[in-house]
Amino acid sequence: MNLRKTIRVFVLPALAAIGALSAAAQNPSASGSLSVQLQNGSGLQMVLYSDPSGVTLGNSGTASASLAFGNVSAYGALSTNVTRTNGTGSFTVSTPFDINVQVSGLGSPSYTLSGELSTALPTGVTLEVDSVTLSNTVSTPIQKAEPYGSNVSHTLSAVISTSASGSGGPPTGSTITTTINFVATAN
Amino acid sequence: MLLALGAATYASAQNTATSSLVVSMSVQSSISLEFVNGSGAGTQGTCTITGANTSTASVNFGIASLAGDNQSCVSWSATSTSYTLSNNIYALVSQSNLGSSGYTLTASLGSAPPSGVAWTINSAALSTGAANLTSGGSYGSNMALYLQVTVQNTVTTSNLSETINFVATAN
Repeated sequence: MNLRKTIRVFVLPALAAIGALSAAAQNPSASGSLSVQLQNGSGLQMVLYSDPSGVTLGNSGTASASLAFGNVSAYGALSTNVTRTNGTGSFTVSTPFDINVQVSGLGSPSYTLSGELSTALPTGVTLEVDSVTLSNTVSTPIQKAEPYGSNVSHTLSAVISTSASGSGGPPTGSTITTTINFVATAN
Repeated sequence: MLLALGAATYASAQNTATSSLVVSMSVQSSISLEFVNGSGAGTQGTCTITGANTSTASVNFGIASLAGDNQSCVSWSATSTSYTLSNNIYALVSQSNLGSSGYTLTASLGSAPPSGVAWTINSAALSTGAANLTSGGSYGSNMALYLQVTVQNTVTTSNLSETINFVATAN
């Protein structure tokens, strides 16, 4: 009996000593949390591209492009990929171009495309996109359910009076320039 | 330590996008000449032309001699020494973006005809030089061109085909 008691006395202090050594070896630590806030917004991006069958745009692939019809006439030669229709009292020159609108953060299935001229055109000239006549006073809807994410071909047309300049026709031999401001609005 | 990072994007709703396309052109004056079939096309004196409504047309006068012509649409007449074929051709001259009130039309043969062959339009003799047909043509109206060729009986059997070149010039 005495022998058993003696053993217990020695064992317990030994276990206690091991626990003390373990606590002394642990590194200091601290805790923290990082709260990250992000709100996914919605946005549309519109880019203009040359159409494979159309006039090559300047700055194709951007939102600020240019399209030069070059010399246009009722009966003379036209630039590559410019087509012409002669009507009564006017002729129309046309070429296709592409618009690509990307969307994010919206459940919108499509967009409405509108256009407005930056300045009034000379007498005897009107501009159309997809047969919709544009003005410089109001943004005019052109297409109301365009798909996102792909190049959509549109036809730009200039309808030009055959009348002489000063008699209802446009000036000849000088460059006519205007800017079409397009707006894509999510539906 | 508590670090709260107010992250970047607090995008407000942007449901529109814009782009701009600068459009330029230069309108030029122009004039065109095309051959058209008249209202009596196909009847005698007015053959139907091939290539109507273009600037490159043709008309077939057939095979002719002092004995006649095998094309019924060609008017034929003869004397003892020659025969004459006649036919109405119509030209339409159009203009655009011009202040011009009319045009001058000339015609010339593509090559000199053999001796004994004479071509006329509206009684104006044709040669390889330009012959004036009118100095006051009206745009947009068919101009009748009475084309005749007279062949003397001294001309040997041969192909007498000709190309007649027309030039319309705005006045």
